[in-house]
Amino acid sequence: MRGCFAPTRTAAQGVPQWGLLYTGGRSVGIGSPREGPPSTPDDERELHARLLAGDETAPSDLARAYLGPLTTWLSRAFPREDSHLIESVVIDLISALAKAPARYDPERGSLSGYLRMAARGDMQNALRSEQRRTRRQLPLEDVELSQAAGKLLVGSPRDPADVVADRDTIDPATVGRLRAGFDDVEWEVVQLMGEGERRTSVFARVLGLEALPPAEQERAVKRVKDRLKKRLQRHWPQVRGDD
Amino acid sequence: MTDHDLLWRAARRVADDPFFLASALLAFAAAEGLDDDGLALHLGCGTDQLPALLLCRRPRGEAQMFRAGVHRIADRFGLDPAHLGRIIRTADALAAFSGAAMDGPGGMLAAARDRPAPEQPRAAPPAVESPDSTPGTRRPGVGDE
Repeated sequence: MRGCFAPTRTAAQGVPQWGLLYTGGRSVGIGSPREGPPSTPDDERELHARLLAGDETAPSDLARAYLGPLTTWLSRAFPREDSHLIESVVIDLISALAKAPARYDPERGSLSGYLRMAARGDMQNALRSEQRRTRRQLPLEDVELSQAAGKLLVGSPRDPADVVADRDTIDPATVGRLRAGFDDVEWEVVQLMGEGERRTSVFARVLGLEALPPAEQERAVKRVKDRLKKRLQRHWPQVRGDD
Repeated sequence: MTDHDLLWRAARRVADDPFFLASALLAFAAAEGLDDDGLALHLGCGTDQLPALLLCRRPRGEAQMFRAGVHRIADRFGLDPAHLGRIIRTADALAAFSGAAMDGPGGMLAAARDRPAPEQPRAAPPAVESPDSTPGTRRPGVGDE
């Protein structure tokens, strides 16, 4: 089903709602602050096409749709980092994509996935810059130099999810040892946890639990996540060689 | 920070980027001495709609293309397109005049240095941005009256 972006208005106030008005009768909001990003691949393609076409309202829709969710996601992926820095990274990323939408290729994946990946990369770059600035100020015993990657690992992550969220900054051999402790499905769940995913339905799909009633799905997903968190906690010191 | 606050922060952050409408509207507001409420009132929209409006792309191109862009924005936000177009063009003129007048030898800054400061502030129309009239500056304006 194809849709087109069009303003819709509340009858009482005549306030534009920045929605996706579907000719088929389904109306999918893309922009109000409490609504999430475009919910289907078609919505995302539509928004991207409008950016490419130079639609003046598309950058606003992009910002309204993704600023909040992406900031939330990045805050979860980097829970110890400065919220101001996180917001700046997200704002700059969104405005950069609004100005150069061709940098995203819809054939290579979803827009939300692209934004998350880009946000993670931009955040890591920002942190590396920060690390370079503060490197000489750190006590030597707190700094572990990863010779393979030439990157710094500082201290131990407090939350096992951080391990996965920060996996791109950890040397590949360490990630490989960590990965070896899980099967494919478990690793996918671990990655989702690290990315801050919270929707039960997403975990249920990965775990093949979609047939279960929602309440049961929720319990089963929670069980799996708790178990994996404990395993991560046990596994991480061994992987790091702390034991 | 709420999503609405985030939008405001984004709008302020792109205020100097000519790609975004914020560059025109916030410059206009600064020149006119309008705060956020005053700008929204002047535009004919709610203050809560302002950040989303500011994050639109600034209409560009020659007359027909510019008009089409203004209409798309105005339709979306329920604004008067002619009024919105005038504000953007005013901001363009302010920027051009400001750039030409303030820079270089013989510009207004140079001229101003050759003159004593006026005893009374002039109540002239907003021709030139004052040094402290950076986009986003909140000053009392018509919206407060």
